[in-house]
Amino acid sequence: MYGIVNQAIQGLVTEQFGEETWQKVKEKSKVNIDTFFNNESYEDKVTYDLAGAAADVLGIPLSEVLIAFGEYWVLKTGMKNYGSLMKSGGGNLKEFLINLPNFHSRVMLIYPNLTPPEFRVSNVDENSLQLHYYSQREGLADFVVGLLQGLGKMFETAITIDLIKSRSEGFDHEICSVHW
Amino acid sequence: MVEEFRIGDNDLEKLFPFYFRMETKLQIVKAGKGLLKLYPGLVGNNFTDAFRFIRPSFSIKNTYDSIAEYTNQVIIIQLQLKNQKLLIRGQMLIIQEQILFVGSPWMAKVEDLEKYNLLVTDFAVHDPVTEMLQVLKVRQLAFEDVQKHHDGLVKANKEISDLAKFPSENPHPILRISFSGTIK
Repeated sequence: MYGIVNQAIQGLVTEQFGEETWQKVKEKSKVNIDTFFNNESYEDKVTYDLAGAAADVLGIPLSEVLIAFGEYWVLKTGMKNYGSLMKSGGGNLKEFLINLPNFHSRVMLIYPNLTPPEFRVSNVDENSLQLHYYSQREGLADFVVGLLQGLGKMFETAITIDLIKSRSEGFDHEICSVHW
Repeated sequence: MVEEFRIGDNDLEKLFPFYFRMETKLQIVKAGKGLLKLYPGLVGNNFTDAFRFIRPSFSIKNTYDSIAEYTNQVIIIQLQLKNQKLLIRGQMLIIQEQILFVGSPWMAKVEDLEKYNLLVTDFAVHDPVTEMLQVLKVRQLAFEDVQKHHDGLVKANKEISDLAKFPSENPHPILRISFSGTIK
């Protein structure tokens, strides 16, 4: 994954728990990199190790770390680095989610070494839709849930998210039912 | 006064030299000269022989009906050349029961033009590819500068920590005393 993902984990831990905690997380993860470059690609293992170590050090389940991380990704990382681009993604939550597949296809062109997830929307209604999430990476469905929560906050829209299908149940991708 | 505005293949090719259109069985009926330069025998071939879907990839199928569902999305396809895989980004549209694709090759860096034997003049006048390549080049150079600076700092830090070990590893203590006698 690109450095910006690891930067975000660092940002989340540092802002909410302090620099000292981050140093503990880094030590525990055995990741030996001082500076993550935004647009350089790192092994996925680095990200998984950091997330796992954060869960251990903070004493919370990994799923909670991933959800918090997803929210942080949208509200801090995304808005800080890509503020105008994020806002241009849609005038409201529904428009933004419908545009999500294109957003990721475009990201892929700009970052050639990146393998971004693939999204598809279906069953679009006035107050709900289904978001399909396809990825080669395992275990990041909670991250997607966090992202959706973050988007809800970004658009100041109360939402509920139900993971109705997942790979852990043998389905070939995840489907989130999103209501607002 | 013309009631309905229509555009023919000749003009379409000027605007989109990398366009192609295919019929319901996905056989390619017509293609622009830019695309034919890359893949001379394209017309008459099936889409599935010449291209592969990159985005969307998991959810789209190589059928007319499936592709027709994605006319509102960015489409990234890969041209299956002998030694190289070239990405083409664009859009699909259904017109008179045919699928029309318009788009142009995605150049990730200036050197790609040479790699794929393309010239700026192979692209349409309106295509922002030339400006895009300039922007990418500037970004690449800026990143190399930062990387160089970063490597220099890492090296300097290592030298500092190495030097700092001398006093601690030295069996004879060293003191720095100011003129007034205070130990620094």
